[in-house]
Amino acid sequence: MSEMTEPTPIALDVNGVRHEVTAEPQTPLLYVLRNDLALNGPKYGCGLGECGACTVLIDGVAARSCVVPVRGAAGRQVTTLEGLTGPDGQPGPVQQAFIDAQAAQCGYCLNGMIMATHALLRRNPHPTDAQIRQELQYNLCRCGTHVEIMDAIRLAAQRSA
Amino acid sequence: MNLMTDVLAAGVATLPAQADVLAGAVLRPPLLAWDGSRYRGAQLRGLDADSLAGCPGVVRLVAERDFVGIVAQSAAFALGARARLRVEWDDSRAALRADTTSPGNDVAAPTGESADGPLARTYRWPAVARPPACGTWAVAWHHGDGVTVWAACESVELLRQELAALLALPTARIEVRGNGLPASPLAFDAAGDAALLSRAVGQPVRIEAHPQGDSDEAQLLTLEVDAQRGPDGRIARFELRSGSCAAARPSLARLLAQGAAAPAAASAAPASPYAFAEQQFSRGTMPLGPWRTVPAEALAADVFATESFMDEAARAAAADPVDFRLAHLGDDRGAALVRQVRQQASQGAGTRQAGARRGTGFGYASALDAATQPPRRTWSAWSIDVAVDSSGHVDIERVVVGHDAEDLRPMSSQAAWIEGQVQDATARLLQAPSFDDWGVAADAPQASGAAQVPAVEVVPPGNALAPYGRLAWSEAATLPAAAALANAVFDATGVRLRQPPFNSPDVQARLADAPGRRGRRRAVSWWGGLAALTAGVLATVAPWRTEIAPVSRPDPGLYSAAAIERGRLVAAAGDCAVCHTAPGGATNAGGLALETPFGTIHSTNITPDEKTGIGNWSYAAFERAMRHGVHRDGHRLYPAFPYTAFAKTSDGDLQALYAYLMAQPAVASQPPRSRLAFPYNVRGLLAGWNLLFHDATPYQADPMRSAEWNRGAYLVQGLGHCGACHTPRNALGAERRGPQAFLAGGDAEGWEAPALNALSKSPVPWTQADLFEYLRTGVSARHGVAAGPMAPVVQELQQLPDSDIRAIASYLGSLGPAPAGATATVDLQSLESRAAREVRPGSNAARLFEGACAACHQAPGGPTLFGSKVSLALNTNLHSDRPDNLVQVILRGVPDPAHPNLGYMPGFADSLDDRQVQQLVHYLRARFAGDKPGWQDVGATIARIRREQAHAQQP
Repeated sequence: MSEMTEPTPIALDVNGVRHEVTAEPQTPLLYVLRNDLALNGPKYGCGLGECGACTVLIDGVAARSCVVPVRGAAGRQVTTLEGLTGPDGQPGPVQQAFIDAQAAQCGYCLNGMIMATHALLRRNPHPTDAQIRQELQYNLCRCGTHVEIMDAIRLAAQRSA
Repeated sequence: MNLMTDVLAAGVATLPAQADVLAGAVLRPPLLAWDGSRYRGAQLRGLDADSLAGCPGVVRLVAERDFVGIVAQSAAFALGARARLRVEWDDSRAALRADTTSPGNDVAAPTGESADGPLARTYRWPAVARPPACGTWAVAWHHGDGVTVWAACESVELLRQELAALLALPTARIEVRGNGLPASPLAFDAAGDAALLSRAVGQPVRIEAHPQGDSDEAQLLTLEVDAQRGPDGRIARFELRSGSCAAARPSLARLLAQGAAAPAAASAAPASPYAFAEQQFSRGTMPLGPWRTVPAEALAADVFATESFMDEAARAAAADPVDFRLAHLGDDRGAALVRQVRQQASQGAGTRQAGARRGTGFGYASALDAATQPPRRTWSAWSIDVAVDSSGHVDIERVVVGHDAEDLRPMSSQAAWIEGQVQDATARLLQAPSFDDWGVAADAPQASGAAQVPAVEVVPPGNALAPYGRLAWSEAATLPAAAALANAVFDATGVRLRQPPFNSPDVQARLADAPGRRGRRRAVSWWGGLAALTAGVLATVAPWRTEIAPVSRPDPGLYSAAAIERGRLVAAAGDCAVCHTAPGGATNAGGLALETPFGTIHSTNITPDEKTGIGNWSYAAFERAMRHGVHRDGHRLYPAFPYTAFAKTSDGDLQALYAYLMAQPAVASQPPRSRLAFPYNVRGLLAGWNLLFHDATPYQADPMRSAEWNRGAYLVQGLGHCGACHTPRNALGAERRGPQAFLAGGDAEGWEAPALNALSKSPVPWTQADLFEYLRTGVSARHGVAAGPMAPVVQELQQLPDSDIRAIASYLGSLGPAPAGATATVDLQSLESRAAREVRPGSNAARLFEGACAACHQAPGGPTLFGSKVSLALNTNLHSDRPDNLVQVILRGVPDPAHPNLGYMPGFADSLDDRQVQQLVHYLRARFAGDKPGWQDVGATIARIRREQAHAQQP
């Protein structure tokens, strides 16, 4: 639409670090995270917000970064998978639970699974199975690791205080 | 969570990061009242926590006694949950019924009333001042060490004490910090709510507070006076029953969650300053508004009732009102002040205005001024001279004020300052809130021939009892102002005003009709009206079409900052920039292509560039364009430019708009010329069009409606030009006339602009609160989001204060179907379960929905995702007669939402084919609007909208 304008720098706060990126404001946030900031945790899946592989947190709420334009994240706090690791570089508690439960097959969906779980446990540290299913039913996994993923989430919930 | 511990360790200095702050929303009882110590409103009978099952983003439902709140991950989720929560209130034991009927300002004094025996009168006092113009927010964080609050409170100390009582914590553990906003009367309750919710979840909670509530139902304190008079007309027994409680109320959170609460300060004031043989005084239960009233209001109400009553009793006894007061005064110092003021008032006279009815009124008060420690006694007496002209306009010609106090501390630079205070106090009682008041100090003097500023004389107390003989002032000095003014108006017109303010249009109408006690009513100047009418007809038949000579661009320095600021708000309300800015182009430089049934029209450059913009337009040319749709060079503008609506704008607003536009940067840009097919390209034909369809009369206030309603009507019909899209047009592109057609639904750029009047297809009626929420935030939790051409309108409205949005909501709310009773709440669950029955799992359409839509639109249930999530079962577009908006939003998505918090929707134009879109549209209709018939010709609509979209995307 606005091909005539010069892109203006957009200030982003990602994982607690401030970045200035120069991009068309309508560029999907996912492209900027991966291509400009080299944060490759979020994955490109469907590009229409349907599969959840690109999930990040915006102000603590799960968001599908392929359908949120970069200007929509300006002035907000973005958290990617990389932001869940501790200061020592060790995996965060949800990540560790997924490792311990061996919840990966191909692993492409796991970014979304972990981010959605993290958001859920922030809000509700001890969810029921039904609540977990409600939260993750639209994060698609095509390898069939659903049982292990459920185990991983229960483990993470168990470990949260 | 790690972040929070860090902040905590640092001693809670800064506001926690946005991602760590949860959002709260509270649900108030339908009836709020208290009696000065206990909560007396509706009580919580039942709460259905299951109604929140599957509701996204909810962290906690908090219920303590009658306090109900929801904590959620974002404000949109909190409001969504609140709309869904099923609550039952019980107001059978409430001490007070909502009673807003007015005793009215009687036209005539009761006749044939005896001069002795019982005398009873009822007065009303508005307990709530004009609502604050803007909202505020508060964040509270109840952590291990106590609570920290960020709020813009009027008194930090008061808030700390309140929170200590609310949370049962020592005051030392309560920390209150500012939040960068100006102090707001809403902050006190917002902080209390946030604190209670934060205690429940142990995390910071933020409450957004807007001056909601229908200020048309301004809360009125009722004051009843019952007196018994002796044979000489003197009052033997005096009883005042006040509906106020004269104590600052605690926070609503504390009243609701704890029920009982000791009043913050002891009930003020003895009954009256008069030495009646017997007197009684009682205080009652009062309704609670969304913001706090101060005890001083209750005192002012008492004085108004007592002093008005003394005047009425004196007149019933055929006594001089001042003598009558002196006969009842047992207090020498007060009596001396009254005599002094009377003497001064009798000397000299104010300016005389021909043809007006005149009168003098007196008022007196003696009260304890609680603002000082220890409280000191104050006395004040007012004498006001008024003139009431034939239109009912009241002018204060002269004010004589005497004020005395124990321990009087004289002030420097007094006289002028005190005069200012007196003028303010009287102006407040008379200043009519005008429908074109933008809350900006306007520099232009108000258009009124009469003198606006009364002569003020201040009488220094100079007798043996008050030896200072110097001027002094305290807040209590203004207490008698309202009664003195009402008494003066009675003296002039015979109309007894028992309820301030005295500026409402209906009061004016009554004063205009009253014969007056001394003067005679002027004959109605009906020849003048006829002449004006004739001139109006002539002007329409022989309109200008000549060029108005170009001028050089006016120097922006000619205009005051206040005028330019007012113009900025006028421009925002008029959405100028929405049409006059091309995508990606400079603001107001024109070039946006508008598709109309008659051809494509390109908006023009309205920056002050002299060659390509309007820099060489004089104000006369600008006004002619705005009111009559004629370009400076004389050619006619197409009514795509809504001059038909802008004509309603007041002169003051047009002048301010001109000032604002001329003060903007000039951009040289020549937009493409509009090309319309014959015969529409013959612009001269528009003269006939105007004759048929254009009414250039500026907005006229409806005296039977409130100031807020009139403000809303002015904005909606005029600058807001809502009808340009929401009113159906006839074959010649003119908005249809008549109350049935107005805002009955129209078209906007290929979208349907739904009906805003009684023809609305919304499954749930729009209330005033819904409209406010929608226009302010871009989403109503009971209806859905603003999208398509409405999104930029909501974006522009961001610039207007809450008070204007409330006015618009008040006006639009009055057009809709009457609500089916105050308690009728929507049963979202039944709407949705009806929707769920329509699901045909396994069909192609159901799979499409599940794959493409459900991640964000599954309701109830589904994940918590960034953005708003209003159930599709509530969406007006799915219940409409036409599928246009649904097809538009499926194909285009919502790339540019009305508010950044609403989230984004991708367009599916490139991923779904026509057949799939059609299946989806039928499925959504059947599932979410099952009571409505299926749509016809959906395929044709899809094809048309795809065509329009392709056309719009061409360079």
